[in-house]
Parts: sequence; structure tokens; C-alpha cells
Amino acid sequence: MNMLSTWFTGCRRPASPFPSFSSVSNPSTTILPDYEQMQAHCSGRALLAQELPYAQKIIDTYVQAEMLQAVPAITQQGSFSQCLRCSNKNPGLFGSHTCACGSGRCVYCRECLEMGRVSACTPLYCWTGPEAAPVYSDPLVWSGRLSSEQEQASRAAANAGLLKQELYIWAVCGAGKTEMMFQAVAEALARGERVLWATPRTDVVRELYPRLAGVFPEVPAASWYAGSPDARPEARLVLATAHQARRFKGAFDMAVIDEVDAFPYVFDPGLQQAVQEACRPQAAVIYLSATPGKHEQRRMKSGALAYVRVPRRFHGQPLPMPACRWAGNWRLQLTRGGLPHALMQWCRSRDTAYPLFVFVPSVAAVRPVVEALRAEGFRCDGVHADDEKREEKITAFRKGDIDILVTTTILERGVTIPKADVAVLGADDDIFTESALVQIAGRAGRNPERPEGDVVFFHYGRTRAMQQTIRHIQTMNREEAEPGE
Amino acid sequence: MNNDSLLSFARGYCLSCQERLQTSWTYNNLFTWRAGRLCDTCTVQLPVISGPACPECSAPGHVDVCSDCLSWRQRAETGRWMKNVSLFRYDDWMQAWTTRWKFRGDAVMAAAFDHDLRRAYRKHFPGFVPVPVPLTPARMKERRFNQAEVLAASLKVPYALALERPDGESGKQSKQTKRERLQTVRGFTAPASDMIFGRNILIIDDIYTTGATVREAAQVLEAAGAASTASLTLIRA
Ligand SMILES: [Zn+2]
Ligand SMILES: [Zn+2]
Ligand SMILES: [Zn+2]
Ligand SMILES: [Zn+2]
Repeated sequence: MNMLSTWFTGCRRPASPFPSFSSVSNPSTTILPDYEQMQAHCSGRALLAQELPYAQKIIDTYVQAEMLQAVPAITQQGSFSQCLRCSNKNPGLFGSHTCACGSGRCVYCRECLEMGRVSACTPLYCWTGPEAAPVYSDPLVWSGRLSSEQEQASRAAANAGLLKQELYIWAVCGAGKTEMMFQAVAEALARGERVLWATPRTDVVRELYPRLAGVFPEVPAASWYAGSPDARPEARLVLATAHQARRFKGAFDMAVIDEVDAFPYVFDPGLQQAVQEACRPQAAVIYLSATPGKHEQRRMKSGALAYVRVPRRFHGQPLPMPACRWAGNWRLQLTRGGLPHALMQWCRSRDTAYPLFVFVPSVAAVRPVVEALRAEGFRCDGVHADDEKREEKITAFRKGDIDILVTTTILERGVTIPKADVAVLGADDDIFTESALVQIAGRAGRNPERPEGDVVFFHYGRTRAMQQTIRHIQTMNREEAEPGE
Repeated sequence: MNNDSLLSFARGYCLSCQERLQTSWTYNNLFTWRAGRLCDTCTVQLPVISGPACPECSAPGHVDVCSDCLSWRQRAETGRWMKNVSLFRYDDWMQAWTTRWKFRGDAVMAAAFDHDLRRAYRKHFPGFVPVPVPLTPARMKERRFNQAEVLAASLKVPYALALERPDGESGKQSKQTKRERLQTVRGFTAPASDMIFGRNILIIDDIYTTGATVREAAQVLEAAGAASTASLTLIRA
């Protein structure tokens, strides 16, 4: 499963179907209309004509000047097709129809349809002219301080960025991973490089974007996620979900891959390739995770993968230990519209001044839990992956307008609510793997004013994943007590 | 257009939501003709028109001929008009489906309804010649396929591209008021052809909203010598 996590090592990039950039500046530059905007808009992208805010006539002028190259969007070998934008090769995710272009049936890609349809008769335009490389010297505006462990990781990351290497940062939840990356990103931007920050989840992009845009106020930044408003194309700092990274080709000199272990669950090889194609061949890659997979751990131990370990949270306090409580047959109780007694009892007895996450195993479980808790008088709401009001609800929760937020595993990562407690209802469900439970437990105690936080697993029989989670957290806490291993 | 080749791609995934199809199709076992095309989740959400509906336009919830159809009768511009048959209601699910199919351009999605359309054709309009409602040349160039033609092709009987439609139609239909839409002249023309003359013609379109589009097409086709006209539309809005 985890062979997917470190994508860049050991696999030589196949010859890119995309044209490479020429470094010779073209003498005809002056007569091209809107040259600078066009350059900023197209660098590192593969765009459909409709994504270019220019008339076809102007696009053709650029093609003639060899500043843009028109590449067929879908290549066909026999009965096999491949989409050049999203790397889709799966015959099940192509379609075809009799086409008005006059060449009979044309194949189109269903996988990346939401980004504007590419078909065999529509070219993608790639920038082949000189590349813009604006330099932002000293772009970081941040007054926070790093702990000595963070400092160490930060230096390693900056170094990997400079030498275009690969580095894995294995840091506990709440270690302050984002802050550890500031220096490396700042140095890359100061070298005129472009930086990609890829994460598996839309919520993480939404939460990180204002933080990063805030500490790099001078740098054009953009966030891309499904349904995001069109972001500025010239951005030098790009936050994107893996799906959206397909919008870029050969654009980035540094990629930060956040929560890399979460990728296999939402990730197929096509997506890995998409992120890989978004970067230049020799880009620096920095992986961030609290829960590396077995495969990565082995590679780190054997020295095949450079890594830094940060076992301590930035406030220096140990990770909260999860408590396990028997909840009886919670599935049955939910179908009857009730909550397990143990959970209800615990909700009543805890200090409601602190926000509470209740994780449930499925979308179907969200509503009954919300209703049962509301009936008890709690201000409570629920979110899941397809919830259109998710963002609003998370904001309300953060502001304290909601006491309890019931959620599926979509919020297991990234979303930081200070001083929160965490309950998992049905921790024995298969969906709660060790990695998921470690992440969920990591939602608690993230604020130095309240580093303890409660984490309770309500279950109907202890699973291996639950035991492994407890052992995992014990190990992390022990390492922290005796630094230097 | 051969619809089997439409499906030489897009196998093994739900044609509506792109979920990988599971091997246990509980609902699809009941509706075997949709098996392998739609997932269970989508199948249960299909807004199939069942139960009472207007016998002349398929408007759901009417036991008798609806008021819209009565007012069409009074105008009597289409003397040889028979009826409209639609398969689905226009709800949120169908709207999202249409957006992806028509506006995003995922043409193969319609293959999920091949069998439903063919059944309706055999039941209500055997022997009719399908004629898809055309797009304007400009819209056709932009979209690259005509959704009505995709539906006509799925009937697996020879269909006739007997209608033509000039450019210069004012504004999108969705932006107009109902009154405006009724008055808009789409400017269909139907050159005389053996495929039309003396034949029963079945106009194919994706959606029946006010009926104005199919009525206008019917009028033109009757003038070109059609023996009778009717319409089969995927959705009744
Ligand atoms: Zn694609
Ligand atoms: Zn074509
Ligand atoms: Zn589906
Ligand atoms: Zn009616």
C-alpha cells in the first residue's frame, strides 16, 4: 500500500511528452501582444484554448513565434488512449462521441473533465518561451520562534531545497510542521523558484492557504481545490490538492507533500504521476507526515531515504494518551436513533468550555449522532465529504458557535482547533486504521495553554489498530522524554 | 453512430458518478438493463416518472391532460401532433447529471439510459423516424456533439438529421422568461426529404420544458410533409 508514498525515488521520469523550455530569449518578443501576462499565465501549465483569456488569433501568433506549443491532449496507440493532462490511461475513464470537428469519433478524457474537457481534437498549449523567474528576496514575514527540534528540521528542509534532494520529515501531530517549512520555502522563493504545497485534502488546502499567504505577503500565492474559484495563474507559491496539481506541468522547483501517508487512501498511480509531472525533473521534494507507512520507515532505517524526526510537540508537552471505553453495540444503538450510554455520559460530564470533535465511521452515522446530541441540548452540527456547508460549519466551530462537531474521517488531518477534545464513536470500525487514529488523537491538546486534551475511543471490542495506536503514541512520548535516542 | 462503440470505453465505472462498479448490484439485479452502467447509489436516485402523468406531455402528478397541453390544443398550430413521452423528472440529481453530460460534455453518460429509451420507443412510437433537435452551428462548434443526436442514436434505428437551425438565436433558453421562450422562434427549417414525407416523425430532445421547441419543430416537419409528429425527451422539467 505504502509503496506509493515516496514517489520520486527510484523511478526515473519517462521522457516527458511536454516540450521543454528554451532559455534563448526570442528577438520577436516586442511585437507579441500582452507578452508578460501571457508568459505569467502559461508558464508551467498545459492549457486549453478556453483557459487562455486571449483570442485564438493571438494564441496562434504565439504558436508561430514558438512561445507556445500546441500538444495533442490525448495520444492514442491502437485502442489505448492516454490523457496528457491527467495521465489517465484507464479505458473505463475515457468516452467518445461523433464529433463536430469532422474527424469522425473523438475520444475525450472523463477523469479530468471537471477542469474543462480535453479531447483528441483539442490541443493543450504549453509555454516554450523564456520563463519568468521573479525573485522575492526575504519574503518571510513571521515573528514566531522555532523550538530547537523544529529548527533542526527547518535547516534540513532548507538544505534539501538548495541541493534539490528528497527529505522526509517525520513529526508528531502538533509538532508545527508548517512552521518548519517556512525557511525552506522562503529560500526557494528568494532563488526565483516556484513552490508547490500538495496535500490530500481540500480542508487542509483551505486552512493552510491563509496562513501561508499571511507569512509571504509579497508573494503571489494561489490555492486550488475541487470547486475553488479560479486562482491567479502567475502564483509562485501554489497550494493544491493532488488532483488539482494536474493543472501544472514542469512548473515547480520544490514540492512539499503534506500528510504524505494519507495519499495512498485517496491516491492512485495516475495522481502520483500528476504531481510528479507538475514538478521539474530535478525538483526538491519534502514529505511531511506524523505516520509514515511501514515501507517508508524501512527505507528511512536503511538509509535509503533521508529523514528528520521530530517526536515532540512545539509546546514541548507529551501527546495525549487515548482512553478506550466500551460502548456496546453502537451500530445497533445508532439505527435505533440513540447514542451509546457511555458516550452520552461522557459528553455530559466533560467541561463544555472546550470544543469537541466526535468522529464517526460513516456519513450515514453523522445525522443520528447530531440529532441525539441536539436532543440533549448541545449546540452540535455534522460534516462529511459532500457537505456543501462544510467550510461554514468548521468556521462556526472554530469561533465557538458550535460545541460539538460530528465528522467523518475527512477532518482527521490538518484542521486545527485549539484546545479541542476528541471522541471516536465506533473506534473498532475498519475505517479507523492506526494511521487514522493517530491523526485523530493528534487533534487534541494542540494549544500550549491546554496541552493535555481528552481523547476517548468508544468501541465494541478493541481492535489491533487501536492497540497499535496506543503503542505508537507511547513510543513517540518515550522518545521525547529521552531525546537523542 | 453506433452506440456499442460509445461503450467500448467507459466500462466498469458508474456512468454518472465514476464510482467503480461493485460486483454485487443489489438494485441493478432488479433493473438488469442498467447493470454495469450505473452504481446502486445513482440507480436509487433516478427520478423516474412513474405513477400518474399527463398523457400528452408526461408532466408528473397529472391524472388528466394538463393545462399546458390544453392551451397548446387551442392554438392548434400542429394538427398532426400526438404526444410527448419523457423518462425522468427534473430534480437536483437530474440537474447535476445534465450539467456534467451536456455542459461539461461527458457524452457517454447517456448510454446509461439506452435501454430505457429503447423501451419507450418500442412501446409508444414503433416505426417512427427519430429526428434529433439540432443545435445552432455556433453551439455545435463549441460543444462538439449534439446531445439530442446522442439520444437518437441510442434507439438503434436509422434516424434522420432532417432539421436545420440557423445561428443568431437570441440568448440561452434558461435566461429567458417562460413567456419569452414561448415566443422565441428558433428558426428551424426542414428541407423536403423522403425520410420525412408521409412518415411518422419522432422528435428527440434532451428536455421538454414548455414544449415550445418540439412544437416548433413539429410545425416545420408537418409543413415538410410528415404524416404525424410526436416527441421523446429524456427529461420532463
Ligand atoms: Zn484527463
Ligand atoms: Zn473532434
Ligand atoms: Zn453512480
Ligand atoms: Zn401535458
